[in-house]
Amino acid sequence: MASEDDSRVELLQGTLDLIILRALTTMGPQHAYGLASRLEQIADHPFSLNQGTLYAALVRLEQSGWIKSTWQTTENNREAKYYTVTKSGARALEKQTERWQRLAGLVNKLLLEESS
Amino acid sequence: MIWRLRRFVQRFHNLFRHSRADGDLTREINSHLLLLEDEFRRRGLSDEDARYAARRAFGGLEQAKEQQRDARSFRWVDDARQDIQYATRLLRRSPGLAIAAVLTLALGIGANSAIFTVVHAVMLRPLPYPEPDRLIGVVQQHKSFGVDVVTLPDYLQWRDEAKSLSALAGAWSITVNLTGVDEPERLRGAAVTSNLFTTLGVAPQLGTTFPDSTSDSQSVVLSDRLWRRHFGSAPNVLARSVSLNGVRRTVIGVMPPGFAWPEGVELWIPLVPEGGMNRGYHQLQGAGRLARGATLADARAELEALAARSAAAFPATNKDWGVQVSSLLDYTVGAASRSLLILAGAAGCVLLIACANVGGLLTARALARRKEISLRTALGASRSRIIRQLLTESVMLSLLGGIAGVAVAEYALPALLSLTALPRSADVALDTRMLAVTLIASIVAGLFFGLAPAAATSRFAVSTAIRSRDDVSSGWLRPALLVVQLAAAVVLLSGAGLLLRSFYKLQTIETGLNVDRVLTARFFLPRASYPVERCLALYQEMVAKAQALPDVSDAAAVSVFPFSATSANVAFTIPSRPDPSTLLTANFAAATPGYFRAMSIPLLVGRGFETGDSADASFVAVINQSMADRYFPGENPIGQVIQILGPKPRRIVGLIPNLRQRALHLSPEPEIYVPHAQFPTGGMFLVVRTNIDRPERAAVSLRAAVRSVNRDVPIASIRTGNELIGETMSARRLNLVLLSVFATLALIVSVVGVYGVLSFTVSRQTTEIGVRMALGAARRDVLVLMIRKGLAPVILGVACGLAIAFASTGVLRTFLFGVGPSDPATLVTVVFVLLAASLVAVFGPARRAANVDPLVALKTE
Repeated sequence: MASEDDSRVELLQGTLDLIILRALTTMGPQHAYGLASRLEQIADHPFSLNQGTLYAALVRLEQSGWIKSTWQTTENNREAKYYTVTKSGARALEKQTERWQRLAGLVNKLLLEESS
Repeated sequence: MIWRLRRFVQRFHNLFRHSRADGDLTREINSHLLLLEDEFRRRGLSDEDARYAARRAFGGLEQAKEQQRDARSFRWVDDARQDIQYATRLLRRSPGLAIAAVLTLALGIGANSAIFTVVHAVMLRPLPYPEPDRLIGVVQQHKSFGVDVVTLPDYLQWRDEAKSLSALAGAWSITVNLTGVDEPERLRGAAVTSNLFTTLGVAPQLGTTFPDSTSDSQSVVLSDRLWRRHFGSAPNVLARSVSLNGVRRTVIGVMPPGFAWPEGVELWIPLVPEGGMNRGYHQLQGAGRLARGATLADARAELEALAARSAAAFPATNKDWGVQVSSLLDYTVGAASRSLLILAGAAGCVLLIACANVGGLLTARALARRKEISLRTALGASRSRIIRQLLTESVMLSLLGGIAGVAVAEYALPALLSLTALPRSADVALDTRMLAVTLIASIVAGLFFGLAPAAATSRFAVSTAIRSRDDVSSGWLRPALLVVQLAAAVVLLSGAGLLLRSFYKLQTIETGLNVDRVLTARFFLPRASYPVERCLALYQEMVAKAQALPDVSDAAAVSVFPFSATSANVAFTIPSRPDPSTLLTANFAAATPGYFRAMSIPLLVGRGFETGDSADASFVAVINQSMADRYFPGENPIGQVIQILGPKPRRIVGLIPNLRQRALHLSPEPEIYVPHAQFPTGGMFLVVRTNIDRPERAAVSLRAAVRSVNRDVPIASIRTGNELIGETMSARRLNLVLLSVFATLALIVSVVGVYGVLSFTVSRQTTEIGVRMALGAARRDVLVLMIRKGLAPVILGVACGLAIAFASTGVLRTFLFGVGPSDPATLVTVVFVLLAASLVAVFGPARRAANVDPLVALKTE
């Protein structure tokens, strides 16, 4: 179990929300499974994330009014809940991305200075 | 941040659509799993393997759901809901305990709500005038006679010279007959200085008030209440004319609702200084407004200085007269505040007892639930979670108690108000603020009495509970709560006992009056409609008619009936003295011949009034012993001459003993009686001595007799002599009745507590008792042991209570009469009553312990 745990990506608080918003913006409407697959793809590490953990983030985003959901049918004729980014979601993504980059820049700088 | 608010609203909303949101989530997760299975099948896994792989990829199903629920709604609310459901189930399972707890709390909370409502209305609510904290009330205070209202000359001097006051107004309370309307009525009014309304800062809602010059004396200003009652709120009331005491007056204004100064007054007329500039005639209630920047202390110092100057300039009248300045609120509330605060303290004691009692009940139950709680702890419930559960229960109980308490308050409030006439209490009702306070009180009480058991039980270690034997030493909590209860009970009982003894002593005071069979009827014949001759003739005829009634032995009339609160203080002089112009004061009354006989007042020396003492005959007076002692010490008062209310000298012809006429606790004051024919005042009491034990039965025939003389005379009220005297006790009655009720409640609740604690101890120690008996202890030994055990907290509680009572009954001092605040007889009685009641309470469980069968007791192990 321990080795498996180590291989998982530990997400910073709030970063999952940002990643989901970003993924939905680039991919268009998606269901939770689709999002999970996409995240694994990006992480370049199959099934490194418990897919169930997405749901808390999804309900948070939806309640904030940044995404909205509808029940639709997939290509394989299965029903699934599709999430779409709203206008205020797009605005929020912009702000959050900017904030994230500032933060990431700062952290990078600090880490580099420490190591040099 | 709009999205934060949005999210909060949604989470809140989700509290109420729990199952729908959950269904939606399950559906979404199922579809997610199906999609995952599809993927795995596509990669070549079998159906079963694909299902398994999908589950693994998804991770913990229930964890995901829980996480989502947490994010979706407020978790603690769900917990609370669970706690409440659980608590409800438990309460339903033991309804006896629930009912006992709720009732106890209802009484405690109800009493507090009712008294808080009254305290707020009477003492805390600001006066309904602008900048009320700048308003002051002024009275004069004599070194030995106490306080009195202000004389006109003193008022004028203060008004004109005090710089710390921006205004000072005066009001003289009067009673008037209102006629010329559909329903004639006797009303309380005030003759006021023209600046009263501007001093208080209230403008009329209709019309104007009095102009500054007092030339216009024929006008009247109505209160809102009177305007509604008699004129149906008609706006055209202005310029209408009404008749007050037979004088026609024009309505010039209507004051807004809530304006009533002096307290209880319904109309105002301009003050015309009838008594003249008499410095001995105390007449005006003073209300002033502090100048900007001036404090109460400034005003006090300045008026004291002015009073001292007057005392030096007019020693005959102003010697020893000082001044008392207070905020107008204190002035209006007066002595009632002390009485209310004592009641609030007593009600607080009752609530404390109720909380301690319920705390005891809950602790007992929590101890009985040790196993269950330990099991829950073992299964992973955190300590805070268990405390929360227990607190939920106690808060629920106290909220139920609070709701029932509102019902109690609903009944208690009118009862409370009917016990005595409190100022500013005319419009008191339970209101939302009171409900809010009750709610808060309940929750606080719930937390208070829930904390002890919660703290005690949540500490149980799993190991001790599984062993299941009770740890006897941990039972200190209930006895401790019992000590608190008993201490509070002792305090309440001592207070009630002291008041009861005072009341009893006052009741049995020798008033010198025998009014058991006396009936009185009060009249007021205004001079304008009833000139002197007509007034005298009417009273003479009414007395004659009453005298002729079958059950009546004597009838007469008097202007001031004892204890009727209509006492008139007048100034007189003794011309034969070296300083004949010195004004002296005494109480004064006019009476018809036969009054002393009708009241069974004996004449010590000389004679009473006779029909010959007419307006044309020489003027005479009868005085009491106190008057003789004070003004004619060592002389024979008969034949002495005084000058009173007019230039004509008056010869003293009779002496009567001292009677208590004004208040039971005050010593008798000097009194002067004159014949009604020589001082034909219009306001008189018809006094009738009947020869039946229930004089009120003669009321109907008396009314008929009066009607047969004159149909138009309004009869204010027919009361028995004892009723009139009893009213002066009403303020005492409020404290006495309430404190007694509280003390009785406290006694009952505490004794029940004593019983409960010992019963519980006995049931927990059955085995131990069995062992003792098996080892040879006699039944008697067990009985004594148990009684000793049961009485231990009682004795400790009584000792604490006595200490507190000694320290605190001093606040009762002003309400006591003839007993000291630490009257040993009262305290000993209280202790005896509590011990006796407790002994009865512990005897039952102790006997049960003594009757334990050692065999049975040991088998239950």
